[in-house]
Amino acid sequence: MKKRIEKYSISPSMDGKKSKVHKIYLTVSVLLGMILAIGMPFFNEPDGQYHYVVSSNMVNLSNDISAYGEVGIGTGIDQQINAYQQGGYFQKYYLTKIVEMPMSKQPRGGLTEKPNIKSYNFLGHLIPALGVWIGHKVYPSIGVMITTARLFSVLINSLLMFLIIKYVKKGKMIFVALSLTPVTLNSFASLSYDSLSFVLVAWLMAIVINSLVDQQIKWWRWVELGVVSGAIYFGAKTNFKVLLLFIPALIAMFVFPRLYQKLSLFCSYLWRNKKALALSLLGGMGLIVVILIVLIGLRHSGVFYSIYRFIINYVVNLRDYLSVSSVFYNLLGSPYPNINYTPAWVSMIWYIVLFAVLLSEDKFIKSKFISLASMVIFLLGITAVYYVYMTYTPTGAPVANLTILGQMQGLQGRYFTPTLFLLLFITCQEKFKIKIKGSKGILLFVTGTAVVTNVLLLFSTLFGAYYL
Amino acid sequence: MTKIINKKLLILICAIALVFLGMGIRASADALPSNQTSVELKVTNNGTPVIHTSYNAMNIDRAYQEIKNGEIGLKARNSAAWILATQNTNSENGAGVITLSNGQKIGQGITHTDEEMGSIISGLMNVDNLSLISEINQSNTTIPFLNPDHVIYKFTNKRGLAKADIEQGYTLILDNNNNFVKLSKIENSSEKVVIDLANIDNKIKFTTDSKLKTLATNFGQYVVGTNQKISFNLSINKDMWQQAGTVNLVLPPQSNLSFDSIEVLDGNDAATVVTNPTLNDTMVFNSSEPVIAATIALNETQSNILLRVTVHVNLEGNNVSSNKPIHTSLQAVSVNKDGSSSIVSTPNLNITGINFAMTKKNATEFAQGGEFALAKSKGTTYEVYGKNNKWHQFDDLNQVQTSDTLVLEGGHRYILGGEQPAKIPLNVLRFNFNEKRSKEINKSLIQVFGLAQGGNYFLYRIDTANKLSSTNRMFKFSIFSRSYFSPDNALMVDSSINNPTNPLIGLSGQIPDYAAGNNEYSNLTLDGSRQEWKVEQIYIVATISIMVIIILVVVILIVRHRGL
Repeated sequence: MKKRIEKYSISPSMDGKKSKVHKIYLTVSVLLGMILAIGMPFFNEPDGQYHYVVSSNMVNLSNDISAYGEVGIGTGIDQQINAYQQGGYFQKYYLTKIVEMPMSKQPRGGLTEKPNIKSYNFLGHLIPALGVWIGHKVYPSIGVMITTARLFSVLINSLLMFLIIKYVKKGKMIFVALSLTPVTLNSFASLSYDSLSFVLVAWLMAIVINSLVDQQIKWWRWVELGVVSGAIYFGAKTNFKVLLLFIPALIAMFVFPRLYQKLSLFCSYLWRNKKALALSLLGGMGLIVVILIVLIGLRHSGVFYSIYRFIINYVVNLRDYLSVSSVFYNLLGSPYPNINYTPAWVSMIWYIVLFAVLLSEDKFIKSKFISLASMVIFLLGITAVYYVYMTYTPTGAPVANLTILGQMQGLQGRYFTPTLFLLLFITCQEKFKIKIKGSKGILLFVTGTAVVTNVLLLFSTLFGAYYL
Repeated sequence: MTKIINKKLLILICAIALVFLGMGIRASADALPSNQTSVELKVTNNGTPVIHTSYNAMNIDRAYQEIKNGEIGLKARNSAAWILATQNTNSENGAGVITLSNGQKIGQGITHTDEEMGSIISGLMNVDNLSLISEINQSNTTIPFLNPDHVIYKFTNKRGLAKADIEQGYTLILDNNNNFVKLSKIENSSEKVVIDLANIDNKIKFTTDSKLKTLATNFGQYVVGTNQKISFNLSINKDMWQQAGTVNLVLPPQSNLSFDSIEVLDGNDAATVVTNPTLNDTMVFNSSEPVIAATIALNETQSNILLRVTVHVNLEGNNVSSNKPIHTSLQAVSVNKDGSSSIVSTPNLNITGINFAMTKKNATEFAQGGEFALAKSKGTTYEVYGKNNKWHQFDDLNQVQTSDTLVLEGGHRYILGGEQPAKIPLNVLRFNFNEKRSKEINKSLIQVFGLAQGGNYFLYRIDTANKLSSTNRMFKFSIFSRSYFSPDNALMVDSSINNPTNPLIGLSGQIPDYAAGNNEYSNLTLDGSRQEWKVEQIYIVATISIMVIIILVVVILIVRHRGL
């Protein structure tokens, strides 16, 4: 009897009153996040110098990071390696005061003025900028400012996720799991705008889930939806705007329920009774898409090459090893593989965690339409990121053979991490029969993996800084 | 019940595994057989340890004795290796004699002295690596030198040390590609073989004179002043003339070392010295080729030769004043009769210095206007650096006359031995470079380069004769430059430039050419106030800790809250 109560208390139950998952999440996230915030080298997030400079610009603390030996506003931790090895890290970064300078002299385009208020560049750096400002009040050195901003960001983002997990009615574990991956937690413990994008996407997903669970949308949830849509539109990275396609889907389902019902009935009727017609309709639609692509391809020959590139990168491993720039490497396990030296199994185990969690959630989705829609949006999300990188090819004299063969470069797994929420709408379909039982075990698996891999993230990064 | 049994089984398996591991470790501590010697190899390159590099030993005692006594086995003389060596050396076919490129012959009935054997073995290796030697030796077993810290590693450790248990007798030390490094005789129960790759031939040798000894730092290097002349003794073995006609003293390309003179101390009749008349500082620094500074022609002799070579560091280019400490050395190259050459090198000379920044108000603001004399204490007396680039002795610092003394002022860079102090150059690499502000800050800075190693230097303030107590006018500092290997095994330097004993902290980011751990500044307080960075350090650590605690409290409150 006692056991049963325990099990009940941590399982993401319908009413959510007795679930403690969100509290466990908060504790683990803040503890691990603070370890990363204090321990990780500065600028450990991709484009770290950029995020720091934007954040400090926003609170009128534009300063010269070349005073700390940085050679440009780039990325990576190369300039800090010596300080680690010589042992003067604290003196160099925590005690040496910043040298304030006019924004207009920052040597990187886009940093010579404050970012536009309506851009993700501004909104995403709001929390870090506030942290930088507090840090400057404490002691005006880059070390104190960054550490404070990171701690602040960990607290705020963890609290936001805590609230989302508390109020989401289904799929709590996928929120916990994705928020505790090294990629997400490291972005929480950094000055990057990626953390805000993640939180906003999680919020939108929570609203969609709650609407589907309740099978209705009350007026105040429409307001909430409006707010989060606006926030994603302005505050999240560009590729996440694709997720706003959920809004028309929800409108179709809940504003015009009759029309939606008729349509879905008609579809299922077609599927059940006129299979040949349905199939030929589908085939016809596919054909139209192909013809469209061919037509576009005739005008812009690059389209074919882009499609080829898209395919070849998933058909052949264009490197003879597990490349650090592989999307699969830095989707969950390793925020910046080149400096993190994360072993491959860390990424692998997070895929196992992801699927274990996805399959353990309750099957709460009755509508096939929403599953189909999220599948399409998921794929669109992928193409959205690829679209940005289509024209990004390295130069060379001559270029590497891999470049000619179409290797994609510059892709970052972290752009996809929040879109993994969408998989929930597929695996939690009623018709999706595979199910893992034992929510307690899953919780242990998620938190255990989170603790081990995040501590490992710090260890392997520092190990690399000292010895590699 | 079954669970308990399984646990016991697991513990048992673990215990057995541990015992096996323990046995493995113990097995490696066996005692040596009596005909073996534990050899410790130390490899350096002109003093710097050659780290993480593989070396092998090969016992060639049999080959050595057979060649030396002219009793080479028939099987070896009929072997393919012998014929190949005969062909490769263009020796007479069928005569049973191999003539090496320096004219030495080996074969049945031809005996040699131990002195000759060294060049014969290396000569044979030049012909066909180890083939013929292995054939005569009837064995080609090589034994790897093992890392003393981790015996599974077959390479030298961080101090250039490696160990191997080797059979006694003549032994070849080979590098990783089985190239000849050294021939040594192993006979005692334990031996140390020391190899300096820049000084392989022990017939010529540089030694430092006693004056230089106090300037020795680690890795066989010396931290010298740019205002001083430096002498080395060069000894040449009495047998050298048989091997080589001349020995050249060679300066490296773009040399910051200049040659002054050479004199013969012993063996005047055995050596004839000719120095290069065109030498001067500018010429040796601008030469893209090595420059021959002097030629020592060797005559037939029965006695060893001893020479004294005097050099100085020239101040050409910007190397001396860059924050990268420079290393410089001179080589003696013998021109051997067989066309080869042996090279020996003087120890590396390092040049370093120190930077100062004048501050006030607990080092929170830059200050200007201080004037200082450069001095060092010597027992109860003092030495003050003069305008004539020499140290002058004083019993009382109040007697120091500004007319003779070199007065150090803000904004200047002083290089000892140099003519005029230079303005500290502007560093345009800062993102917020501003010429006016840079010049203003530079006025608070004093840079001194080319000081010899020493721990008793000080700057003595002379612009405020009696306003400050003498302790507040005296700023002690040390000059040092030590090499070490970083955790990732890069050769690094710890010097008074990149890690001064009293660094300016906090304000230093403002200094245009400040680079933490690379080009640091010493604090020179003009108002007698002290830096308070230790307090600030505690404050920073405490504040971050408090932030962490606050966050934890918030989290605990939320987690304990029933409504959430």
